[in-house]
Amino acid sequence: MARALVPTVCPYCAAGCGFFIAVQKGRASGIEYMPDHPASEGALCSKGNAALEILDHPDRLRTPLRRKGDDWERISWDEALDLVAKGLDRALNSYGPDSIGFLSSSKCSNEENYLFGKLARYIGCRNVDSCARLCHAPSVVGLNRTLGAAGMTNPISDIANSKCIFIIGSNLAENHPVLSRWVHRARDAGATVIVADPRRTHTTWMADTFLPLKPGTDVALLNGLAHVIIKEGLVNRSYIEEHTRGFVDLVAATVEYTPERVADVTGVPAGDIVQAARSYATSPASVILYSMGITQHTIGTDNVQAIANLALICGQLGREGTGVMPLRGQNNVQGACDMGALAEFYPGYKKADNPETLKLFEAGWGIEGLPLGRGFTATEMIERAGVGKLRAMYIMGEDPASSEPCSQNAQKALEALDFLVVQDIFMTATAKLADVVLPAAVWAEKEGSYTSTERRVQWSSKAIEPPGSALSDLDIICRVAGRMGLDFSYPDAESVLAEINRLVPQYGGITRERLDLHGLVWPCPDSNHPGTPILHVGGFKLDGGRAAIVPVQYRPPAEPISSGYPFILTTGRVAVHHNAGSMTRRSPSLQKREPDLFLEINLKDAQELDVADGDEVTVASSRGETVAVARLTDGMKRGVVFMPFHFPRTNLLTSEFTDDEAWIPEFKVSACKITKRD
Amino acid sequence: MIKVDRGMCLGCLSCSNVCPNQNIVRTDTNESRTVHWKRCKEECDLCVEFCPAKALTLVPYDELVPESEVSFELVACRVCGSRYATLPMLMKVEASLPAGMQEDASGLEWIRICSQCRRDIEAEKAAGQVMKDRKRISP
Amino acid sequence: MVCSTGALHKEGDKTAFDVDKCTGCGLCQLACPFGVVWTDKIAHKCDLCSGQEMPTCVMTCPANALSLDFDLASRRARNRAAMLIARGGRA
Repeated sequence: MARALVPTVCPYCAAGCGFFIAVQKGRASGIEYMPDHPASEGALCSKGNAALEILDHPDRLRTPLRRKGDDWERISWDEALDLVAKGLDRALNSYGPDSIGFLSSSKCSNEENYLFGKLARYIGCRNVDSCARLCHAPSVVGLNRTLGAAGMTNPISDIANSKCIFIIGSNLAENHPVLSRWVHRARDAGATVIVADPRRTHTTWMADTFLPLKPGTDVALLNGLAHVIIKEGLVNRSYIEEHTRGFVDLVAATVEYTPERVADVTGVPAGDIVQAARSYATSPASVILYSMGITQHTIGTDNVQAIANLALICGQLGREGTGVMPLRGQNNVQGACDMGALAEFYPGYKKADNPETLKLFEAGWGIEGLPLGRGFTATEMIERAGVGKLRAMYIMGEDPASSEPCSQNAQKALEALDFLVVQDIFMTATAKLADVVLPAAVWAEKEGSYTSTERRVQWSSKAIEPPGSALSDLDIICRVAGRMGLDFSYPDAESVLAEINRLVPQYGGITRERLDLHGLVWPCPDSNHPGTPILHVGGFKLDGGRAAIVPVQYRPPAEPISSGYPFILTTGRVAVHHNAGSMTRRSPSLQKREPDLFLEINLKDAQELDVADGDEVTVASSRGETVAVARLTDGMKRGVVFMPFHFPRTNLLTSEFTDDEAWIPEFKVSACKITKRD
Repeated sequence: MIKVDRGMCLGCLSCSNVCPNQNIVRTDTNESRTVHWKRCKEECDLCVEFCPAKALTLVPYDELVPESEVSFELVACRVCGSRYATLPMLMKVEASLPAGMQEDASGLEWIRICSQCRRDIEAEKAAGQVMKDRKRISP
Repeated sequence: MVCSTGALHKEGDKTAFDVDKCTGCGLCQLACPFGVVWTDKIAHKCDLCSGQEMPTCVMTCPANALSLDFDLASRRARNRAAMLIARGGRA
């Protein structure tokens, strides 16, 4: 029997690695690598290599389910769609459109995110958000304000051309392993690598200069670097004059941030700060890579702006080997943001509180009366559900009951809803709380386009059929919309992409037929445009073509440590798991390598608590407590502990305080206490 | 048929592996290995050719000569205790290693460890070095 | 050379394995200090995916940590060592 090779895009992180699924007799029989892929060159990390393990997993949802007391009843699609339409209609008619929340998914394709947002806004509901809120919402706000575009400025492979790589708040060696190949390549060609992180991680192993800062003091560090660069005259004067505004304010704002004072606040030696500043400013091409260590703070937006400031005053933008690179977490978080799965944006980052936006989409969608103004964010929806203001939710491929901060509150809030429909591939913690569960297809079982962190839009083809009666998310959305009396007749993903081409200028020329194996990089406004791998060449899409330098001041994290809760808990990922872990923790080869929730703690701290390596400890914050296995290391600072968030119990502890502009919760700093279990 | 020089046979089972007629029978118990040469009329001499110890010779078929059999005690791995090779095999390997390796600081102790344990020890050593470099201490 | 049939032999700077010549005597397994050659019926040894331009393990290593280029590998090791010394032993 012939073996077909179907090109797909990896469903895990946002690096967007491509691989072929070998299909024999309708079953996925293995992975073939794609050696000419522009980002991965055929490489795949442990997660990618294990991706096929979830395809025919026994836990996959195979039929629609309805809650029946404490149990589940299998129902037909017909019944399920009726229940969903009735449930949403009831909330709509009784409490109005603001009583419904739509959570879209960064795991789903561009087309699905687009349609999901369209469905919500069609019925007059503004509350569309996705887990992008929990990872890179500050990048969207901060980079749009400073540089005028929210995304990685340069392609992943361009890291190899850099001469100085500044990695802050990202453990890319574990979380985006494929990116580290480009960092290694730059380093082999003589580049300097600077890593700022509270933990000593696998990434710091690549570093020439390691800046071990206290969690949440990033603004102080970044302002300190700017201070040194300005004071030593290492700024790029001509670039500042030609391309930016607001430099004078930054000079004034950073004057107090001397290396000595910054050393006090951050805990990084003053000499290392000066050295890092000089390396970054004087290298012919410097790039900044950052990730959730920057964004998941109450000052996430400030952090992002401080990074942009640094790049702007040194003119490290718009050329090969330079740039500001937010490394996204989910395979399509960039695409979900592009498609308007954010409470404040319509597709293409059109502001929801601008009447012009509504006119555009009313014309494009052929309806009237789209709702004006931003909707409630993922975190706000949960809050409102908790106080009875949100009555129904439609959640597609997300697991807020595990991923929201202080997740026990999120669970209570979801239980309080009148009606909850969850569309997913596994029975997640969120799905367990639902009234109706709809079985969805995974990436290999459907087609669609995905946008990787480098803005590369790639087409992923359908390799196999979904299990049981599961359907693609696109199909389900269209059927739900149809049952609610809306005309959503799209025969396939390609026809949705054609509508996106018309309405989202960045995607104007990204048509199905042009998306061959390696995709196109947006902005790509028309069908002859080759795509734009490097942004901001020669200027910015802001007023007067100038980028905005927006000075920021250091503010400490929202939750201070106290005598009752003396440790700072920070969270992050490990190499073999992904996000809430609903996929990777079901993947035998991955789960076997990291089976349990652990807590990394400094050796001396552990000694004082009489905790040995491998002991079980209770970790508690003011919100809840959990049990974890202690791992002793001297890679953690004193007073700081780390837990991965792939295990549902981690977010019982995390802080609910949010950024006031991007509304992202501060996952990275929570106060906690640790006790040894008997 | 095949004549065996008992003093030279290693008990490595090459002959048994290559014999096209399954005329050379092996019996491994937990602690010993027995190789049994049946009386054979073929004159293929594959086993003779492939014997690493040159312990076999082809002789004319003779019904009066009894079938030959050699038994070896199996040597236990010093780490896990599993029986993994015959003593003559180990001696042969020791003798054929380059002089440099024989004078190694750790001597030839590793030959008395089974290959699974050697692999584990090597992996532990490499991982230990990496962990030390990364300063993740584990006792 | 412990292999009497030449199944395991040198090809340039790497050890190659010719399945057809192996008798399964197991002496190579006993002679490998690292335990990376093993026998059941015949011997098994990594052949560096001969026939492919690059071994699959090298191609798929996400961080590019595996390499057939010994110069590159040792340069990385040297860099790392230099870094450790420069930091007074701090990794």
